[in-house]
Amino acid sequence: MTHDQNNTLTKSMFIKMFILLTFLTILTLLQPYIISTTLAGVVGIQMFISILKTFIIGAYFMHLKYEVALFKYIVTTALITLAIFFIITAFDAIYRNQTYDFFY
Amino acid sequence: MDHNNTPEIIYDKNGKAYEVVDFNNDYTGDKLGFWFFLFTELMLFGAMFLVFAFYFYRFSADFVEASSTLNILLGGINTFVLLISTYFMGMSLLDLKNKKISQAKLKIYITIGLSIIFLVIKYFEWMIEINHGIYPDSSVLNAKEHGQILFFGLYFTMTGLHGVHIIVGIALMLWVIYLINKKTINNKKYVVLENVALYWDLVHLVWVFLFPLFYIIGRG
Repeated sequence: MTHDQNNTLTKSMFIKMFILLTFLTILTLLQPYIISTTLAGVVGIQMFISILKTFIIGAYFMHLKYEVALFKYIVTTALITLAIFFIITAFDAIYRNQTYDFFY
Repeated sequence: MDHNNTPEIIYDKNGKAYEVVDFNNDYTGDKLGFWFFLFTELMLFGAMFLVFAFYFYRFSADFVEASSTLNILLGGINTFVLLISTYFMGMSLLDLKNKKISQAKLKIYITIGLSIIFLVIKYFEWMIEINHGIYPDSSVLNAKEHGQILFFGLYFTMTGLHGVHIIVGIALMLWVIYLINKKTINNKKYVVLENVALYWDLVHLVWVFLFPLFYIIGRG
């Protein structure tokens, strides 16, 4: 069976997204030298850029934008599962041995 | 086995036609299975990032100090090498779909070349640390602060596992070249290359988070 989907990724769109990723990668490298901020600020900016790059890679390089809904649900489920683990662990990291220690 | 025979058609109660697809030629099934594999990969690396986040929060100062000793130039070059490799991998798939077989193969070879460059740079980077006596359970590392021991433990574990994925990726790309030469992969049947490209994008995605967390936090 052939799979010529109506909405497929074109070469020009792929190149545009590659240029965008290159720009964001340069920003990742230069950020500490052009934006002076606290450690929380650096982590926040860097993770924001990384998440932006994740969306571009997922949507265009991994073709999720053009895929059937099932594949999008799989990725969403993976991300939600990870997010739950991160949130629970964050409570542990922040409140361990404190007044609001959830795991005491 | 090649399936060039007339497709078998079934109809639903509304008269809509569907092609009968056997398990040897199930495009969606092939991709679904691979996406489930990628799900497990996300969980594997996700758990490691979770450990990193936990200890980074508790030993922020040690992590920042340890991060500042890593070679940002080599790490930065590797970031671009991996980015460019994903470009060639993606382009090879587009070329294959457009019947440009030799172009597709060339781009896979370029991707393999870039992957090897990545590994060579990573080797030199690790050797810099090892020559400074910094490797898991070394006396130099064990004499450092607890947070720094954790940072370098995670650094060697996570970049090491990522490196293993690069080696597996190279093996998969060589296998794809072999299948293209055998004409098992062509412009009509390309799901294997599509899945290998997905795998390569995941390897890139992991580095998108590894790089800032290990190399940039010490430069803030």
